[in-house]
Amino acid sequence: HEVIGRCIFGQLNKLQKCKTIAKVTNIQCRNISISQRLLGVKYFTEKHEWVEVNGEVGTIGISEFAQDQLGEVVYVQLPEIDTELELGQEAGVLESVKAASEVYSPISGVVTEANTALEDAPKLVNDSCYEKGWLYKMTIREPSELDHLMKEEDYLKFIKD
Amino acid sequence: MKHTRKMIPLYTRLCFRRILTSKESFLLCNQRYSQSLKSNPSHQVLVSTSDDIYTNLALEEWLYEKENLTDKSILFMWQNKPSVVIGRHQNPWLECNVPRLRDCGIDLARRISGGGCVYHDLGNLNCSFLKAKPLYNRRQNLDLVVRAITSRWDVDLQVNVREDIVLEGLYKVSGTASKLGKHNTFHHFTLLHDVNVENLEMALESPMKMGVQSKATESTRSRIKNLSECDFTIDFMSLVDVIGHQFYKEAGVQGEIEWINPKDESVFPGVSEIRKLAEGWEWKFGKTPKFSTNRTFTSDKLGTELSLICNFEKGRIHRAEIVCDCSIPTVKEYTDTLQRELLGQRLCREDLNQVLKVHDLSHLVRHEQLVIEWINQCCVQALCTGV
Repeated sequence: HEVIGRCIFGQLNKLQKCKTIAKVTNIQCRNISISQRLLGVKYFTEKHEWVEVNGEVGTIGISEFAQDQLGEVVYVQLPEIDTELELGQEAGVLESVKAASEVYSPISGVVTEANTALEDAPKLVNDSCYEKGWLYKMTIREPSELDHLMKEEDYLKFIKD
Repeated sequence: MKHTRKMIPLYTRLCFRRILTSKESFLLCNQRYSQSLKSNPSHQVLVSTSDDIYTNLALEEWLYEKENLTDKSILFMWQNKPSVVIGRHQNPWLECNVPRLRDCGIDLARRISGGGCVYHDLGNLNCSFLKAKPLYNRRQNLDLVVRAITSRWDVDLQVNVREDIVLEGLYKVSGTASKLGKHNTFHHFTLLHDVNVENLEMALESPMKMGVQSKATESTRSRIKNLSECDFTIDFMSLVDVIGHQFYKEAGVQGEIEWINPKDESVFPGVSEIRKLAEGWEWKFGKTPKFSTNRTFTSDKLGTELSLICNFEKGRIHRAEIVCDCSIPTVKEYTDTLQRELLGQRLCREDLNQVLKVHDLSHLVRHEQLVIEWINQCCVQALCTGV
């Protein structure tokens, strides 16, 4: 009886939680978009950079398409911590087979962290451009800037054209 | 003619070439230079009247940053008096002989494109193709140059998989590098027609190779040969002429080769500022990726061993560890002081001279004096700035 009681109790709790979530999601569209952003969604630029939002921090990297175009990365020049970057400003340089390609900041904010693993292993940008090959992290000064960027499906369509 | 050239001392030879080029360019300037460029606006061939590396790199950067290349492509050609040019992420101390360059008056420059270290003198032609991003194509540019040269001279030239121009299947006559921005790009490369090979080898031999760990990009060394060895009529003027005209021909347009003054602020506003930065220590040396040196020195005569570990960041000593196994207190005091004073110093003669000068040691016993002098010499050798 105790076991059954606990199970029912557990199910009731779950229902209670679902009800709460339903309430929240029903309130406003804006809230939905914020909670989506909290889940680590990637936004893409036309220059093939991406920004992944986690709370108030954005992680920046380059896309699969970009790393493929570049060829093997031999050196990564990253911005220094506390650097203030504007949307579209040069944030760093990726050097690959004698070509130095500029990386542009997809949003405005202040640099909080740089991926120092790339100092010893610049090829991570090629091998794991969405995960281990991230470039730097920054604060998100203007969340509305994200509205002008592409979601993954739109970006994939963009590169097909 | 070749025999006579060898007899003339190097310095005179270089001067003679420069005088010749300046005179020719002066004449051409009078004929063609003007502020309003006469060529078809979709294609331009510009040739610099300067032989200063910083001036020419500054103009190239100006064109890359400021020119609207959406409906225009530019071929910019230039030559420099003796200089060494390193790639954006290279370490000058490992790529060339920094103190020797200083002593010989050879300029050192860091470009904004990637790639390896090259030696320039008036026997080298630089070509820079500036185009909009969709038109970026290195192979196309190199093939154009090979077609231009082979159309006039009978030379065996090809472009290999590394995108080097190779002579007779063996010798590299060109090194390529490029820069890609938001909208604009440039692809530039050298072309060896009559470079002084002895000077090149001396300049690119680094004394600091031992015991160094570095994250900087490295150069790939190759065997080289001058184009003029195949045909002595291949020189700066004739190459500019044939490549410039090929550029217009393949674009299907008529055009003139235009000589420009890269220092002219009225035509290129802001170019002096770019030049000033290009010449500065912070750019040339301060942009060096982190590296460290770990050296051990032994003196059997003095019966001592010295270990020197230095970490460098942005061209400055970030950490120094100098340990001598000599137990004499004055020696220990000397190494401690040296360690402290070296911290934060730039890896350059001006800064290190102050720290590494030998102080008055007359109050010490002979053996102590010898050890301290020896430690000092080891540090000078390890830091390789030619103090």
